[in-house]
Amino acid sequence: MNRVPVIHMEAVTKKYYIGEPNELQILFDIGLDIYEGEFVSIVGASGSGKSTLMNIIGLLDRQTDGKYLLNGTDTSQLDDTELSHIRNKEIGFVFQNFNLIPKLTALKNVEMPLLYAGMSQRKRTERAMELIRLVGMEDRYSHDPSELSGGHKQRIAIARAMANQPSIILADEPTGALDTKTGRMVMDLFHKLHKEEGKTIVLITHSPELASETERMLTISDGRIVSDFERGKGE
Amino acid sequence: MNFLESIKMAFTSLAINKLRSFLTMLGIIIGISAVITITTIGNSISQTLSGTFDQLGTSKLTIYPDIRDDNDGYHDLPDDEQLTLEMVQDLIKRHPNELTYSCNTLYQGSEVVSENGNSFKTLMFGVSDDYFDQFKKQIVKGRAVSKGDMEEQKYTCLVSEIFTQQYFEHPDDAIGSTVKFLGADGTNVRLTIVGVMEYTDLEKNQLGVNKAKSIYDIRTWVFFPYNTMLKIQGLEPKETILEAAEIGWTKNCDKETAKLYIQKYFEPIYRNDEVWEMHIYDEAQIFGMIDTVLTVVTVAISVIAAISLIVGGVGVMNIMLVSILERTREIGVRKALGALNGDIRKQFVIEAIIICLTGGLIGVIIGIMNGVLLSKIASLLLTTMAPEYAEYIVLTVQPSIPAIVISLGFSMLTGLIFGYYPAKRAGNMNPIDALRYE
Ligand SMILES: Nc1ncnc2c1ncn2[C@@H]1O[C@H](COP(=O)(O)OP(=O)(O)O)[C@@H](O)[C@H]1O
Ligand SMILES: [Mg+2]
Repeated sequence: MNRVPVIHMEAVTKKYYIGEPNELQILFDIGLDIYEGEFVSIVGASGSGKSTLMNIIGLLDRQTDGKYLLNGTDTSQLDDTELSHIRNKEIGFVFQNFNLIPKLTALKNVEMPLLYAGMSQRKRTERAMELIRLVGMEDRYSHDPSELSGGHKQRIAIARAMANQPSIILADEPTGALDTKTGRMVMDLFHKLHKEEGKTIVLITHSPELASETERMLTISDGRIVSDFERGKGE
Repeated sequence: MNFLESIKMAFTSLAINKLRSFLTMLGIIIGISAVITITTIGNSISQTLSGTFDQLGTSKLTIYPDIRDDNDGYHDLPDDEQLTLEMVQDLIKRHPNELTYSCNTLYQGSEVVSENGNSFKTLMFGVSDDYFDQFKKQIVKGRAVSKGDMEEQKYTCLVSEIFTQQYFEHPDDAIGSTVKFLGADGTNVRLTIVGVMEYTDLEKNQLGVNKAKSIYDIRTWVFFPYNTMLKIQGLEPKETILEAAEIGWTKNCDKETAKLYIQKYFEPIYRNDEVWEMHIYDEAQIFGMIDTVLTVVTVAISVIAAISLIVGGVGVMNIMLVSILERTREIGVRKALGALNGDIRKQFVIEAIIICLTGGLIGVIIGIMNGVLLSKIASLLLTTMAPEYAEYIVLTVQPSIPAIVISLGFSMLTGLIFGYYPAKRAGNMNPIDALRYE
């Protein structure tokens, strides 16, 4: 395939406490290409470096070494403002602990990325309501996060992640804090976004069943990608 | 993200912690309300004074010979030539379109016999035509002594309502009637009434109107032209010695220039006098002094307020730091969603400014209420304790607008200064560290 990958990584490493006696390397020599429309799951033991990799992909953190191109742009040259713009427009985050802003209604939470994109209040409300309908939460849009169940919170968080039609959705153990049933519903929502909206999705999960539902599965162990399994293709 | 959004967001997050926001504001509320209370009182006093002075018509300077400040204590009896009418007229002649003068002197007491035979006493004053300028309101019938009356030395006069009640069987007949005044020295004068005035409460008090058993016991005042008085006395201006003279000025001149003219005129006359000098008394100077005192008090309060603003500002900074620490995760989330460092910074600076400005506004409102309340109490005290003066005192309650504007400006500045550092820290947070913060 010669199309440009959404994510392209070459020899990416991550170290903490650089130059100190307790120097700690978390990621080793990561090489990775993720293409548009792919639904990729990342599995691996706790502490293996999955979140660290995800945060680098999401431009929340920087790699220590190596090259990372997002939509063909070398991210190592970007300043804080440019990184913020890219996070706002190109990346949608879904966290294990939802990370909704307390005391703001579901609607206001979904509006947040639109607000930072500079959209007018009227358009924001319109778009946010559309997203809330997409995740089936229209009867709860005026509730505060504290009034929502875990599954509902995560659906609002997914609506928020979709707000600016990002080119990639990053979900770090989105079902980790949910019971099996609601976790199932959230997973179904990702499938829907993938199939109906054609979203590129990277999902970290602990559950082998959920991982096996995705078309591609990466396994990380001690900071290295040890397997890259594509359904129908083999490794 | 635009400014309005930031303001909305700031209000939202302040509303979440109402009690804490209020406690944070307290220092600022106290400081600002103190300043506004004091400035409202000060401004009201100034306004009241100037209103009162306007009413009393102090747009005149009084000049009179006075002992020099540097005199060693020994001085001769007053010299006959100290201040004569001629000097005053001469001074006016030098600046005819700029200066005016007025004279008013007690002529003498005299007795009048009324239409129905009752006799009563009056006090006669020789006054110049501008004497009633400030008291026009008191003239209820006819007119005051005019310039023509003065120049032509006419035998006219202005009497009071009480006089007409004393003299006439039908007080309405007063205007145009001629009355005979019997002087203490045996001479008598006939004057034609051209106007009737009423007394103010203060004057009635002085005359003992309410205490008099019979209306004929009241010794009323009669005003007649100054020049007519001179004619009766057979005095020339040169021989007329004045205790004091009132110098006024026209639109072509102002008070300071008038003072200068007076000094220039009397300087050669008094140059070699070791005992006397011509003193210029300006009633408004007292007003100026009160104003100075008020300014000093205001400045002192402002300094205290500034200190309380600083203390309040440190409180705001402290609370902002706490709030930012508490909301670290929120900051991380906002950054993950695309907030710029500047967006976060703006959000927290605006929050700090709004805390301070709201505190300032509450302070202003409390201050104005305090000021109005105290002024009302003052007016109540005045009307119950000195009712005879109440009429003269135009009590105005007027918060000082510049003080309000400056106070609010300083409140905002406090928010900006003390909010900036915490806000900058929030803005510069690393998104992943903020998100992972426990
Ligand atoms: N800021 C940090 N400083 C030091 N060590 C860190 C930091 N962030 C993560 N780590 C370490 O990196 C390792 C990988 O963490 P993480 O990527 O969260 O693992 P996973 O998501 O696979 O469970 C862990 O051992 C963790 O303690
Ligand atoms: Mg993790």
